Amino acid sequence: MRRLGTIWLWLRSLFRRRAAEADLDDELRFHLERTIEENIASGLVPEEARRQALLDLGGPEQVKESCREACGTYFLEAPLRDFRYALRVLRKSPGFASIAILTLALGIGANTALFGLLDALVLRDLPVWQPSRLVEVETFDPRERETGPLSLAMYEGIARGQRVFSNFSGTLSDAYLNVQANGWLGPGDVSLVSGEFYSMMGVRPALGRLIGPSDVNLMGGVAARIAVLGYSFWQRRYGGSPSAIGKIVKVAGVPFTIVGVAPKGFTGTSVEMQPEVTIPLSAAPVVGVVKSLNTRHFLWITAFGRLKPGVSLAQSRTDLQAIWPAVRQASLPSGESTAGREHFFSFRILVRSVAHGTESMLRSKYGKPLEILMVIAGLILLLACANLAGLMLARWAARDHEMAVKLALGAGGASIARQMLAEGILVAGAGACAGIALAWAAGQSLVALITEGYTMPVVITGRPDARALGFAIALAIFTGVLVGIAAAWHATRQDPMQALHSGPRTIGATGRLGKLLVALQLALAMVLLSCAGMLIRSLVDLETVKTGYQAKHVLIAQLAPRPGKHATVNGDVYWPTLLRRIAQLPGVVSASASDYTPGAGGAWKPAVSPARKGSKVSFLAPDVGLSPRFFRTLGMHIVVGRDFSWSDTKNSPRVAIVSQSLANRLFPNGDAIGRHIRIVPSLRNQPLEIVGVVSDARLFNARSADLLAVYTPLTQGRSFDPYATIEVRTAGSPLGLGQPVRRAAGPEGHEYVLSFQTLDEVRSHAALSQRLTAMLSGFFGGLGLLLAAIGLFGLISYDTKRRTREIGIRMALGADAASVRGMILRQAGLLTALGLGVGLIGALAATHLIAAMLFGVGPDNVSTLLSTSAVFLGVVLLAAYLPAHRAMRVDPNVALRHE
Amino acid sequence: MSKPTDLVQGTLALLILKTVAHQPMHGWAIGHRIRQVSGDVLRINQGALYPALHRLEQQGWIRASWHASENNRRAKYYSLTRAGQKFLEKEEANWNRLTTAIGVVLKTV
Repeated sequence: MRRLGTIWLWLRSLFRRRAAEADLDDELRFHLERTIEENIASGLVPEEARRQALLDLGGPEQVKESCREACGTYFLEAPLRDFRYALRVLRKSPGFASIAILTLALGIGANTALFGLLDALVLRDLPVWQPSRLVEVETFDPRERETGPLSLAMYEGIARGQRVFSNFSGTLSDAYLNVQANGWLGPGDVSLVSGEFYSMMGVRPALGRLIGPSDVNLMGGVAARIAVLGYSFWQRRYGGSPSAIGKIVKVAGVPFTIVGVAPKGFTGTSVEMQPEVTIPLSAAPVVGVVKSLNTRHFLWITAFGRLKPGVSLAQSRTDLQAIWPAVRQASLPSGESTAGREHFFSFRILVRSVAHGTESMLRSKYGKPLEILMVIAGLILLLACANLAGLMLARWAARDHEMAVKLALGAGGASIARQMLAEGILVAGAGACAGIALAWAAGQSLVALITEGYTMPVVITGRPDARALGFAIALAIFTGVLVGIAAAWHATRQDPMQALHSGPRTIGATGRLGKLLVALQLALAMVLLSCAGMLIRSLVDLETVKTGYQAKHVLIAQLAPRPGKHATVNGDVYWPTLLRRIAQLPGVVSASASDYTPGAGGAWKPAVSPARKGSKVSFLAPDVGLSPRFFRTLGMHIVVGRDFSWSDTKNSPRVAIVSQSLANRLFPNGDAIGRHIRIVPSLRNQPLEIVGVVSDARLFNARSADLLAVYTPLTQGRSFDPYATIEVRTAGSPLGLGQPVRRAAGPEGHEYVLSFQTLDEVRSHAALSQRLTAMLSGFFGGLGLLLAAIGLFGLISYDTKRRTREIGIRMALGADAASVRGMILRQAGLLTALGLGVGLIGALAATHLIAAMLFGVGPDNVSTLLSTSAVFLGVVLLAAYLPAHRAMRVDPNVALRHE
Repeated sequence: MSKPTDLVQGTLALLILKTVAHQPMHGWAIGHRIRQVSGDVLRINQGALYPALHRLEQQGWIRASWHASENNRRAKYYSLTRAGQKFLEKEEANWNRLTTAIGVVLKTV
């Protein structure tokens, strides 16, 4: 009964607020009237009676507020009111609101996108049962200072001797082998596992069964020919059909029967890729990843264990170290030299937690840079908070008087602080919403960028998941509170009496700290901007540099060997046939093959020297095997001599073509043709006759001005290369010829086309890291500048608002608009000059640090520094000019009458 | 002159409950009566009286209704609920025990 009554009261005061308010009014009015009557009765004049009554009550508004608080709906009502008020304030100043939301969106967006990636790559646990109990067992070679896998003998020895793991499993993961599934042929991410693997990981099949102990017989060496498919591979290749069970999937040409599908989202022991096909570890020799299971010279088994309950990582280390000497002794490879034995006996055993998964390609490449970027993005967000607080203060400063009135009326510092907090949280909330949308787009395009050219599907999407969203929300609350508190702290520090009496103050009261902070931001922005300018300039130069070949209209096709077919290929017949067939396709201008993908970077670089006795000249130069017509296809030209021909075979004299630069270096007299050179190391150490000199081209490293190169016939020298590249010059759009080229490559039966790209795409992929750094530095540079400009804008606005009265007096005394503007701009100019000066010094230091990443521009390239300075000054001065311009339009009448 | 802050914590509630126990009263009369009965010793700060009334009402120990006052104006009258009655008895007993104990200590020591 009582409970019901109080709930009714509560609801009534919440929803029928007007009625409750009226009641409260009536009640207090009645009280006052009674008190006044009584006071009059005791002999006071009516005026005095009323004053005394009000004094006794102690301020009707405060009493009402206390009564409302006593009603218990206050905790809901007050924030609602504050937010409604904040919304109204923000709607009235769309300029401020949009700038605030934009900066926070960029700040929160960058942080969320980076966190999402960092989380997916580095921070997150493996998606399996109790990941923290999983460990990896590795050997450590103290001489090379690197970790490695185990041999089968070591693995078996540890499996027998250990007492700390409830499961112990050997694997070989990420073997890229030819996979044939449901009519599809391509390279697949194949894993080999021992029988304990799936029970150790604690996973259940999505379909069928998984590989178990009875399927893997390492000692007998007989492998069950069964396979488990990865969930997404099953979706892609079998359309998720249950009828895949019992079908045959071929790995490296060897048939395996599909028995099951791994659960969705299972990524094995790394976080990055889903094993596509998993087969028993004992099938390793059958698919050719090791020659024999029992080889002791080759360490190939990556071993994992699940710690028994109650066993710590340290205990497992101690246990394995205790049994290790005996295991090592029993695993010694036969026929080792004394030095080799000594080296082998120096191997140690390591145990490492793999709760977050094993080191993966993307993690080792981008983990550290991501952490650094995360710190930068975090700092930028902090600066954004400081600036927003400054902006908010500037706006509140204009209402100093109103604020003082509120304080004097008894609003209480807390309620003003609450309103600022509400404003901060509102802005941050809107910023976070926009930021999450931004992170959604940015994360995905970042992942697309860093995995560009990957033939294997990567699990990481870059879309912010629940964790990243949670992070964004936490960030938003944090920034909102930070901004609000910074502003509130400043706002409530003033004394209402003083503010009321003096009106808007005449003394520029912005703290030294605030000015220093803005100057620092300006300097930082200048540094970031200069680096970004240099990097972007480098990228542009790199993309427009004269390459010496014509990249337009060239299709690049990567070939891969068909399982078991390429071993018997006769290149002297295969290549001419294949290239002739492609050259006959309509739309093809010319076609060639090489053992290096032009423009991709990373070519083999042996030493090249003249083949005469006593020659001391020797140059490191890329050595590439080519078919005839390669130069024609790429649009290079033979300066002197001839191209290769199909009659340059293993049975004819060995020949070579050198680049113009190499010819000039080796034979400065210009008589290279007919001379002999030697390439060290090479398969047969024979001298090669130079038959041609070809124009220089940046085929190997677009950044390097070093254009030395030696070319040899694909049909001479090396054994048949199964991973060759085909270049096709086309009349029209290159990618349209993809399918015809794929079909033309088929009938030979030796190779298939793995992937197509245009030469432009290959080049741009080679410049990936440049593009990434230019893009990110451009983003952070722009953001830094925007923030610094906002900081300055806030500072100057705040100052001019506070000096309105002073400006009024000056103008009343005859100062004209220009001199007022000059006065305001002087301060901005001083800060800007300070920021620019310090920033330029910092920029010179920073650009020297990144000199290695630059191309075409020196670290103190004047024109880039000048143009970034110009951009900097333009934006910054605009930020300062806007408030100065507003100050100029102060009407002295209004400013002075304010009191 | 004594302010509620000088009173032992929670005494204001006790005084209010006791005052309205006899008959429904409005806020002004409650303050007035406490002052009168205590021989002008206890002067309730009016700024604290109304929030206290609202809190007691929210807690369900008193209930309010609007009636015509002694001079025929609309006033909000507070009366004790059954729960308030129980609470008052309990608090009164506590209070008596406390003051007796303090009295004994003051006399003997």
